[in-house]
Amino acid sequence: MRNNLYPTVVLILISLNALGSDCTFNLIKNEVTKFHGPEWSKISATCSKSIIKSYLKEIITNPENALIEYDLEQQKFIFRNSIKSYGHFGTKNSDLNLLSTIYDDHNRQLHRMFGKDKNLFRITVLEAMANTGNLEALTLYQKIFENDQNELFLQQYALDFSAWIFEGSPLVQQENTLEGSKIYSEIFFPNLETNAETRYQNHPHLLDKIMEKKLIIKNILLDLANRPERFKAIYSSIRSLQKIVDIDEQNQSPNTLNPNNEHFQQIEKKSNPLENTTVRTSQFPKRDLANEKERQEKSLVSWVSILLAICCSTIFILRYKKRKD
Amino acid sequence: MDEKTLNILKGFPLKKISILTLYFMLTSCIEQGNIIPSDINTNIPFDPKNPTPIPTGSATAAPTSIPGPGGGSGAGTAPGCTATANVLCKGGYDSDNTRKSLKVKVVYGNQAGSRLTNDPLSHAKNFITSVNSNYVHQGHRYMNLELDESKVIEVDQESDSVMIEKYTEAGYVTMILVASIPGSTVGYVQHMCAKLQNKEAWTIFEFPYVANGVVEHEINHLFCFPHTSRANGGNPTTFLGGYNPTSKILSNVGALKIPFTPDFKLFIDPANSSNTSVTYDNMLYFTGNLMYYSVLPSRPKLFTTHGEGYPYSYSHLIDYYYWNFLKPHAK
Repeated sequence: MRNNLYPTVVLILISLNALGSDCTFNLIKNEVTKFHGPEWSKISATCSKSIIKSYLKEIITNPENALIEYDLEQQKFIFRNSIKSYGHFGTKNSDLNLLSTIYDDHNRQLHRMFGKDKNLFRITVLEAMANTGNLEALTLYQKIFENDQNELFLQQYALDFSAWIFEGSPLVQQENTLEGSKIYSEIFFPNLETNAETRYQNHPHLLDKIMEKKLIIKNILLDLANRPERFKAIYSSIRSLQKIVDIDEQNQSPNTLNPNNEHFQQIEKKSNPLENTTVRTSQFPKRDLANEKERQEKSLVSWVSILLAICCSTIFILRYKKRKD
Repeated sequence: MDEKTLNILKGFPLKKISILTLYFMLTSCIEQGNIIPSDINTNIPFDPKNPTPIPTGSATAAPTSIPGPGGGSGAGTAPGCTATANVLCKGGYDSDNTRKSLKVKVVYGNQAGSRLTNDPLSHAKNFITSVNSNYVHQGHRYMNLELDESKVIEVDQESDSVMIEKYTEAGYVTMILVASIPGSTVGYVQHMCAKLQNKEAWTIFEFPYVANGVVEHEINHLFCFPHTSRANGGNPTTFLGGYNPTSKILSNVGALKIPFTPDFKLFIDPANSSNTSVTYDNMLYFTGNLMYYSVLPSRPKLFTTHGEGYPYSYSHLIDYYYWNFLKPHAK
C-alpha cells in the first residue's frame, strides 16, 4: 500500500510546488521522450531547475510507475534520457550519491530493465555524474578505474569522464554535433561549458581540491600504466588523462606510459588476448593525434611556401629596380 | 611595361610592395593550410538554421526512375500511384516484377575488452526483421530490407566519424551499433533521401535501444520521411507546416534530390502535437505515428496510425524512394 501511494504523493507534492506554473510532469516527459534528447533550454522560462530535477528524480527512482504508459523498451530509452539530464540539474553531492546508488544497482533496477546490457547502461550513469561538473564525481570515478572488478570499458569511461570534469565537455565544441539529424539534439552542458579551474575560480578551496585530485589521479595513472597486460586497449584514455593531470611526458621511468620506453616495448611483445584488437580511439579527448600530425605537416608546408614566396617576390622587385636603374 | 604602369609602381615604396605581396601569399597559403580534415563530413543536406536552403535536386531534370514492367515507378504507372488523393499507391517492392531488396550491413562497435553481443548474427536478424515489418501494409510489401549476413561484423568502437568513414558501403544501408553516444541523441542519420551509391545510407545507434522504434524512425529519414511536425519539438523553423506537396516540403530543407513525378501531398503539423487530427482531401491525418519526433506510448509501426492520410502519403513516398533511389543503386 505504501509503495503504491508513495510515488503519487511525491508527484502531488511536486505539482503543488509548481502550482500556478505550466511546469507539469507531462511537460518534462515530453522532453525526455524525444528521439534526439531533451531541449531543456526551451522550457527554462517555464520550469525552474529544481522542479525539473524533482520530476527527473521521480522518473529515475521509480520508472515503472512514472512511465507506466510506456512499454519496457520505451521505458529504457526514456530512463536513459532522464538519467543523462539529471546530471545537468543535480549538481550536489547528494545527487551524485543518488547516481552512485543507481550505478551500484543494489535494488536490481538496472538488472530488471536492461538485463545483460546493464553494464552498457552504466556508461550513461557515469556520463550523468560527469554532467554534474561536481569534483566529487572524480572520487567515484577513481573507485572504478582502480578496481579491476569493473569491466575494462567502464574503467575507460571513468577515465574519459574524469577528463570532462577537469576540462569541460568536449561536446560543447565538437563539430560532428552538427551532422544530419543530430542537429536536432541540444547542446546543453550547463555545468561543463568550461574547465574546472574556470568554474571554480572564485572558490580557492575548490581550486585546491582540483590540484589535490589531480595529484591523486596522477599517481593512480602511473600504476595503471604499469599494467599494460590489462590496460593496453585503453592506453589512449590513460594517456589523455595523464596529460590533463600534468604527468611529465619526458619522464623515462619504467612506470611512465611512454611508447619509446624499453620496458614498455618488452611488455608489449608478450602475447596478449587483446593483441589483435585495434586500440580504441577514444572519442572524448579533443586531440586526434593522427590528424594533428597531418595538420602539422600541412602547416609546415604552408610556412615554407610563404618564405619561398617572400624570397621570390623580393628578388623580382630588386631585379626590376636594378633594371630600372 | 608602359610608362603609366612604371609610374604607378614607382609610387609604391619597396616596403609596401613586399608587405602587400606577403599579405597576398599569407592569405592564400593559410587558406590552403586550413584544409578541412577528411573525417569531417560537411555535407548537411538539410539545415534548419539556413533561411534559404539550396535545393540539391534540379527542378527541371528528367526523372531518373526506371519504369518497372509490373508496377509503380514513382512516375505514376502503377495502379493507384497517380497521386490521386485518398488512393493508396500499391507500389514499391511488390509492384516490381523484378523485385529488388535493400541490403543491410550491420557493424557492431565493441567497447574495450567486451562485446556488445555474443551472437551478433542472431541479434542483427532479429532487429532487422522487426524494422522490416514496418514496410508491409494491407498485405502489400513496399520495401524489403535484407540482411547481408556476410556483412555482419564486429569491430572496435572508434569515434562516429571514423566508423562511418571506414564501414559504410555503397549500395547498402549500413547500421552501426555502439555502446554509447555521448550527449543527448541515442541515434542519428546524416542524409535524408539517402543516395545509396554515395554511401549516404547509414545510421549509428546505441546498442541497448534498437527495439523501441528509434531505429525504424531514423531509417525512414533515409527514405525521405520527415517528422510529422515542423521540428524536434522546439521552435517551428524547419519544415513547411500544413498540407503541401512533398517535393516542396523536402525542397524547403534542401533534401530534394530527384524530382517527384507525380507529386503528392503530406501534412506537417505546425504546432508539434503528437495527437493532431486534421482532414485534407477527405483523409484524416493523425500525427501520432512513427515519424513523430518522440517515443509514443502506442508504439505504432509506420502505417499503423489511424486515419487514411499518412498511409496514403507514405505509400507514395516509399514508392518514390524505391524506384528513384533503391532500384537503380542498391546492391
